[in-house]
This record gives sequence, C-alpha cells and structure tokens, in this order.
Amino acid sequence: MLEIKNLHVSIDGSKILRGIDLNLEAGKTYAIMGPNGSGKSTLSYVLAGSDKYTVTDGTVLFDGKNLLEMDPEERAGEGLFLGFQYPVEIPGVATSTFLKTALNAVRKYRGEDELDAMQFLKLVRKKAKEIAVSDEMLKRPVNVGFSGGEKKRNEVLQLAMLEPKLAVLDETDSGLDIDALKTVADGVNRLRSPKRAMLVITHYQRLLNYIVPDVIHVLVNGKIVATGAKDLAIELEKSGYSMFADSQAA
Amino acid sequence: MVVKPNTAHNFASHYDEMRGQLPGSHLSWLQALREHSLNVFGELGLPTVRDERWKYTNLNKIRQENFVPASHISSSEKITLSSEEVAQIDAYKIILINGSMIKSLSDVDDLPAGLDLEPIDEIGEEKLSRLLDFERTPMAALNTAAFTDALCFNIHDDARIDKPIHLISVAGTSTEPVVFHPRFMINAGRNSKVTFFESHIGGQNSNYFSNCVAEIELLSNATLHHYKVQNDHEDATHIAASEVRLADGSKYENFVVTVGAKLSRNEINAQITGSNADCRLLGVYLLNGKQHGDHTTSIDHAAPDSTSHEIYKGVLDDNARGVFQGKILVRKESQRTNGYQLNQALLLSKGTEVDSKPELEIYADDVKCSHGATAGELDEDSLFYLRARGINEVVARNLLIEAFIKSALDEISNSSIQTTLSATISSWLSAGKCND
Repeated sequence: MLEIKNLHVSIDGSKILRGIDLNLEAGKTYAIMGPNGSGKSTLSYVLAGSDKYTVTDGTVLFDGKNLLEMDPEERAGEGLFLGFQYPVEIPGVATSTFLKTALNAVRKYRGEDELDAMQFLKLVRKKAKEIAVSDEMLKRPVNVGFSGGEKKRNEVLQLAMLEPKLAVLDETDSGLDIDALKTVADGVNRLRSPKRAMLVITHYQRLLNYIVPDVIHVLVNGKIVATGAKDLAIELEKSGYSMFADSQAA
Repeated sequence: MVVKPNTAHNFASHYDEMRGQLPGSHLSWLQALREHSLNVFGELGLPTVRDERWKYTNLNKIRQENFVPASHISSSEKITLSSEEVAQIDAYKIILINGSMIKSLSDVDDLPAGLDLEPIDEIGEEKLSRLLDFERTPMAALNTAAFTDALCFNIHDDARIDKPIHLISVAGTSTEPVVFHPRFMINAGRNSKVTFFESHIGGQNSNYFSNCVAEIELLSNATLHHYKVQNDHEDATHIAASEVRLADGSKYENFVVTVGAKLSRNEINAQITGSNADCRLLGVYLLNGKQHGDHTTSIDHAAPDSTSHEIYKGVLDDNARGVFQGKILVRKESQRTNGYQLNQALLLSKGTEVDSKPELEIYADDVKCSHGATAGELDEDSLFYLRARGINEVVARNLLIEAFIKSALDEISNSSIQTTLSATISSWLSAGKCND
C-alpha cells in the first residue's frame, strides 16, 4: 500500500530523515519507535504533506501513486490520515461543521455522494458514541477548550468518519492518562481492518500494550536501525534507545 | 463670500444652479439651510489627509473625477434586486434610486401603525440637520445642500415595529460619473423598538459617488437595531456619516458589513446624553483588489453609567487597505462609564495595509475602558490541519476567514439578521467576492 524508498528530508537545511525504506501492507499495524528528535514526527508530517519540510531525495508511492506530488487534501482524499500529536485548536469553526466539510470533501474526491445534514448527523452521532465524544463536544469549536483526552478522541472520531486506507497516528499517547489512553486505543483497535494499514508512532512502549503492532521499526537519527515483532518494544523499554548509539554516531 | 477654487467649488456651482429645482425649494427655512450648508462646504472644502480625522483616507478620487449631480429617476424605471446583491429579509422595503425614494417600488402605504414616514415639507426646521456638526463632517454639509430626498422616520412612543425597515439605495442607470446624497432620519420615541437595515448596491452604474447622511435620535429607553450592508459597485465611492444621540436607557446597535466600493468611509458619531444607555458599534470589512475601507467612530460619553462596545473585524486581500479610527471621550461627569473597543484585521497578502487608531480621552476617574488592535495572517497550522482532512485550500481558507469574523457577527442581537448576514458573507466568500 505504501512504499517509501530512500526518503531524505530536511528542514531549514538540516537533515532529519536520512534514507528511510518502508513498506506497509493493508491489514497490518506497524509501529515506529524512536527517541526524541529521531525524525518520527517529521516522517508523519511529510507523509501528510506539510510544506515545512523539504524532500531532498527518495520516493513515496501510495497505492502506486506518487504521494509527494499531491496536495495535503489530495492525500486525504486518496485515503491517508494523520492523527496529530498536537491537534490544532480552531476557534470559530464548530467541530460538527469541520467534520461535515471534511467528510463531504473526501467523499466528493472518492466519487461518492455528499451527505446531507440529516445523513451526516445520523452517522456522526453513531460514530461519536462509540468513541465517547458527546453531542456537546461536536457543537464546540474544533479542539478549543478540549482536554488532552478529548482532543485525541476527536482525532479518532475523524479517523472513524473519514475511513482512510492508511492511518498514521503521531504520538497518540502523549498527554493521556491511562484511562484516556485505553479509550483512544479501543477506538483505534475497532478501526483495524483487513483493508486498512495503521502506522503508530510512539516514543514509549506503553501504547503498544493497547494497540499491538504486527511489526515494529526503530527510528534513530533519521534511519531505521532495527525491525522486529512486538517483543522488540519490550526489549527497548528495558535497555533504552542507547543500544543504538553506535548507529547514531555512524 | 469667496468660494475657494477647488472641487468644493465644482460641487457648489452645480448645486447653486440647481437650487430652485431641489425638493423643498418653496420652504424658506430649507432654502436658507441649503445656502448656509453650501457656503460652509465651500469654506471647508473636501477633507484632506492633513485633517487628523481624514489622515488615512485620501479623497483625491473625488477631486479628480468630475462628478455631476445624478438626475432624478422616474418611477417607471425597472430595477432588479438579486439575492446575491441584497440580503433577503422579511421587511418593509424603501427603495431609493440616486438618493430619491421611488414610491411605486416601496412599501410606503403598508407601513405599520406606530411608524410615520414624514414628507420633506413636514420635517420642519427644528429637526433637520440638528444633530450635524459641519466642522466635523464637511461631507454632511454637501449632503444637506444637495440632497434630493430626505426620509424622516418617526417611531411613536412605546411602538414595537414588527418587521425591519429595509432601505435599499441603488445607483441609477446612468453611466457617467454621478454624485447623489441619500439622507434619512430616524427618531425613535420613548420605549419604542425598531430595526433598520440598509443595503447599498450599484445597479447598472459603476462610477458614482454616494454621499450618505443619517441623523438618528433615540429617546428614553428606545431600542434601535441598525444594520447596513455596503455592497456598492467596486469602482464606486461611498462616504457615509451617521450622527446618533442616545437618551437615558436607550440601546443603539449598529452593525456594518463593508464589501463594496473602491473607496469607502463609514463614520459614526454617537453622543450618549443619558445614563444607562448602551451604544454598540460593530462591523466587518472584507476588501480586496485596491479597495480602501475606512471605519471611523467617535463615542462621546456625556452622561454617567453608560456603556459602549465596539468590535470591528477586517479581512484584507491583494492591495486592499483598511482604516479604523475609534475615539472614546469620557467627560468628567460621566462616572462609571464602561467602554470597550477592538479592531482586528486579517491580512491575506503582503500588499495589504491596515491603519488602526484608537483614541481614548478620559476625564472621569471611575471608569472601565479598554481597547485593542491586532493584525495577523491566517494560521498556517490551522490551514494544514484542515487540508490534511481533505478540505481544499480555498474552502479551508474561507472556513478560517469566517471563523475570524464570527465573533463580530455573534454580537448581533437580532438572530434572524445574524443568520442572514452570516449566510450572505459565506456565499460571497465561496464565490471569491472578497478574497479571490
């Protein structure tokens, strides 16, 4: 589904990603673990199409199409979703308006009929209930005054509404207590499907107890330095990222 | 009297010739008032940027163009008011073409009890022009000398007017540069409640100068909601001055939407003469191309225990320029005044400019007054967040622009007007009218 080859990325001239190779298949859940500053978030932003970064080399194909040539909205239309580490607060735009505009935009892109107000309301109520997002939250401006848990649940609600092929979840666990983490993880797990790939980006092993990945990649200093099954996370939790110090120096 | 050889003189000579033909010419007091006004305007001339009140708004466009007085339009003329141009509200319509009311197109015969529309002959010397200060608003002197109609709305004591009065000012079909002078008065009686809605559109003419004056008086405990959409032709000039006087316990709410005209100024001078009055001056301006939009307000707190509240939000694109000047005067005796003023501008491109001048003059010692001004760009992170959810850039930008002005629109007390104005602005934005 997603093929990343030799991806090099820099920001303001400094190199962040130094040759990433990654293949993601539908139906599987992947984790990328790494210390702060390893380039984890950069990878997720580059995939979503942020123009703050410069791709200096490499290719990214999404279902065979050149992802790097697409605008962010086209990527979303094609079925790529980024769950933000820090969801943006947008005063003045009601959450439900935002969701409806986004849903109809991707439906239009995918050649599906747009939903009218009633159809949308029915759908959003159903999905919101599953992830414990209240009607009151839907009326509030996007993420404004939301707690950390509410913001992340709102991200998962967007994921559930937009039904992407690939969901990239950037530090979904940051700022969550254990109960909030469970709610969010349950929501994500419910959305796992044979047609969908998930890429979970995290610093800590904790999240992976709740969203159990099929494959774990370790990202250090802009390169993938290790790949393994879920045991790798436990190993990392014990020894820390310093075991990759050598490759970091390389 | 020696009239200075300038543009003021051009206007003056036109109206000197026309004096006998202007309405009310048989009334000696009105003749005298017009003559006086013309002389004052001749002396003061068109305001220049050397005048502090006009520092940021240059009237060279008027100086250079040879505007001629618009001719009277016959009532048979057909005009079409498209819903894209004029907000659709359930209201008593009063239609003016070139500043003169067209009776056959207006609901003059259906006006409700409690509201009179006085003909010019009956307004009387003691009312007309009473609130104006020509030194402060020279353009109002020109209006007084030259108006071709003056609509005087009297709302009786205790009257509750069920529907808004919708004044629609349309420029005529002439294609030569014309000037006209819409003029109206609102006298809101004690405990009365009424809503006025002004729409200004171009019709088929593009190069015209609309010089509007409104005189508004609220007696004790009157409530007047006054809304205005200035959607004049993009090449037109629109200069408007409203003089408002608020008695004790009265509530005046003004909301202006400025999207039209190449050069525009909306000036409101309010004087609060009684306690427990509430003056709310609000608005949004959406300008692009080379549009220039000036919002100048002054609020004179001449009595204690009153409040004033001002919020103006602007969205500027291309090379548009926005001006906000807000003066608040709190006199010594006006203790416990509560004043608030905010002007915020969203600058969508590098060529834009906003000039913001708050001016607080406070002589009382027990007051609460605050003001603020900001200018900024669209938030890149918000834009990326919306786009990452599949919303294309144009729609995403419009969502953020609407979000920016929403807090001003939210201040509108009349919820159906608020809905109408929000929808109108939203459709303009998506059509690229003010942010292409």
